[in-house]
Amino acid sequence: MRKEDTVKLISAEGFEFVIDKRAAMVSQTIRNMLTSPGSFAETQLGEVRFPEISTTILEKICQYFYWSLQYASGKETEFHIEPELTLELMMAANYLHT
Amino acid sequence: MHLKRKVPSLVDLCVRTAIDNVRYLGDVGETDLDLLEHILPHCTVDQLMHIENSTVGRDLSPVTDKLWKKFYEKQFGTENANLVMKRMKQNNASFKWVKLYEAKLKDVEEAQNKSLDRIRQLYKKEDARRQSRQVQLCSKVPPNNKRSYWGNGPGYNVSNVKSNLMKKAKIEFLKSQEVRNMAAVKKNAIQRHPCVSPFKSPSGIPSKGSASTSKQVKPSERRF
Repeated sequence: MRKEDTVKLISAEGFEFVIDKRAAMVSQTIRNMLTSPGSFAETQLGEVRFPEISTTILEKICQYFYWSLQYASGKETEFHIEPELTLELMMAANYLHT
Repeated sequence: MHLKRKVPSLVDLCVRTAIDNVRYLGDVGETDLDLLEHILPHCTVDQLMHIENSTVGRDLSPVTDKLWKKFYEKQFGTENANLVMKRMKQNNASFKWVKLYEAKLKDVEEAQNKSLDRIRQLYKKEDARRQSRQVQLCSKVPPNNKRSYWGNGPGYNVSNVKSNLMKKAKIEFLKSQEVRNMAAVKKNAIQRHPCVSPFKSPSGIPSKGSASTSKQVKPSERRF
């Protein structure tokens, strides 16, 4: 993958997830951050920090992004969510408009 | 043609999972009220109570108050609920439905315990009544009149007399001079006629030098 096609998502603990830009854009919030002309530092660096989102949750969110692209392209599978992550994941997803 | 399928949002998926696992929910922390609106209506009374108690430092009543009102109506009837609302209006007071529910539950429980106690008392009474009417085994054996035949102190036979008063009267009668005289005469009469005597006649058994024999020979020699 070329660097231009990826973004870096950084968790509260500092963990860095490098993912496909298309995947990241599943989140409306991230899409706005990356496409808004110049108003966000993120567009320059191609990285977004999430100090309120833990590593486990951010990882799950990235998995969702890829699952979503797969689903949209026709491969409909089940996206399993661990019960103990449910509430936290729900709040993060709400924040990310995803 | 590329068909854009509607992908379920992560929020939706999470809400669905939360509803499926509502029995495991405890402290809902800072979860948005809008999200809770979707999830909490799926709780039972116990589950909702648990969530309310576990979520400390946060008031969930904007979402839960109407849920508790529904629980109240279901459990205690719409009439009672309306009555409670009327009373609150009259007294210009306002209580959360969760508190009203808990209070009513306590009242009902107390009334139930009272009636259970009453029934228990009735059972106890009936039991006691039945016990008192039962035939019970005694440890003492009543004295047997027939056996004390020889046991009378002064030697008078009053075993055929049941009453103590009669016994006393009979003993006194037997002790009296007249009766004793008559008894003595009877005895002498028996001794004069040895053939009538209950003792065995020693003359039928000849034996020399037997002290007992010689003694018993004596009365037979007294012949008139």
